[in-house]
Amino acid sequence: MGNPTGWFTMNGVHIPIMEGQSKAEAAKKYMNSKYGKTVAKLSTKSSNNKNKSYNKYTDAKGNTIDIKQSEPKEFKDTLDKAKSTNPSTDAWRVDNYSHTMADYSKDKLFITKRGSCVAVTPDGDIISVCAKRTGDRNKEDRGRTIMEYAVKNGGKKLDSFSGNHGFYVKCGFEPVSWCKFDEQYAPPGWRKGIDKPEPIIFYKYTGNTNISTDYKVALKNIKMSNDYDTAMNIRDKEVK
Amino acid sequence: MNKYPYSYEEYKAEVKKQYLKDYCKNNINYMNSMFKSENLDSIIKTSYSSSKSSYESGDRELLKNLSLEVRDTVACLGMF
Repeated sequence: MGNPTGWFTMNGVHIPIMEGQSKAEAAKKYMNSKYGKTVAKLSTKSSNNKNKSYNKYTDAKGNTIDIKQSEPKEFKDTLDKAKSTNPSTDAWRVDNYSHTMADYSKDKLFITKRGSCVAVTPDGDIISVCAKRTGDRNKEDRGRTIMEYAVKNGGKKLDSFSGNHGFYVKCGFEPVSWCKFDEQYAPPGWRKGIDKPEPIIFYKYTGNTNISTDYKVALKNIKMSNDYDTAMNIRDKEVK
Repeated sequence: MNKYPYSYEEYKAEVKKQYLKDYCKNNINYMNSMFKSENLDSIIKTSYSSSKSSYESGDRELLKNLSLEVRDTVACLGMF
C-alpha cells in the first residue's frame, strides 16, 4: 500500500485517495470497510453530506436501504410522518415526544429515502426507531436493516416496551433489565383499558439471536427493577 | 387445568388476519412475500406457546385478551 495522493472529508472523516484511485472509489472502499459489504453508489460532491445524498446500505440478508445523516428538524419530521403510518395499536410505542431538538442535535440522526428513521446517541443508545408503512412491501424499509445500520454506527443498547421484544431479540439485542409500566409516564397514544401496560425492557447488543422471543421468559429470568432509571443503570453497567 | 381453546393453526390464522389488516392494507401478496422472506413462523409459535402455557397455568385473563396477545405478535411481525 503506497502513500495517499490526496485526501477528502466525508461525514467528518478524512479519507485517503490512493494512487490511481478516483474519489468515488476511495469513498466506496471506505464505506465498504466501515458499513458493510455493498455500497453501490456514493456521492462525493460534498464534504458534509447531511441533508444531501443517500448512501446505499445492504444488510447481511441482502436487504438494501438508501440512508443518510440528517439534521434534527428533518429527522423529527420524518419520525412524525413514519409514526403516523403505523397502526395506532402499535404506534404508541414509538417515542417521538421525549427528545428535544437540542437532544437530537447531539445524536447521529439517520433517515431513509423511503421515510424511515433511527438515531444513535453519543453513548450508543438507539432511539426513535420507526419504519414508514405503505402497505406495499416493495416500497418499505426493513426494520432489521435499519437496526443493523444503527449498530454499525455505534448503537449498542436500547430500551423498548415489551411488544417489540421479539423483533429486537431477532436483531441481536439481549435483555438485561426491566421495569414495570408506570401509568404516570404512559406515552401519548397509549389507551388505558385498550392497550396493555407493557413493561419496559432494556437491552444490550451482543449479536446473539438465539434467545427466546417471548418477553415473558425475559421477565422471568431477569430481576425486576423498581423504576426506569434503576433498570437503565443496571443495563448501562453491562454495556462497555 | 384449563385447556387452551385455540389450536396453533387457529392462532396463526388470527395473527395473519390482523397482520393483513394492520400492515398490508389487505394486500395478500404483500403478506405472503413477507412471510416468505422472513422466518416469522417461529415468532408466532413462541407467542402461541407462551399464551397457551400462561392460560393453562391459570391466567384466565389471557383468554379474554386473546386479541391483545395476537396484537402483540402482530406488532412484533410488523417491525420486521
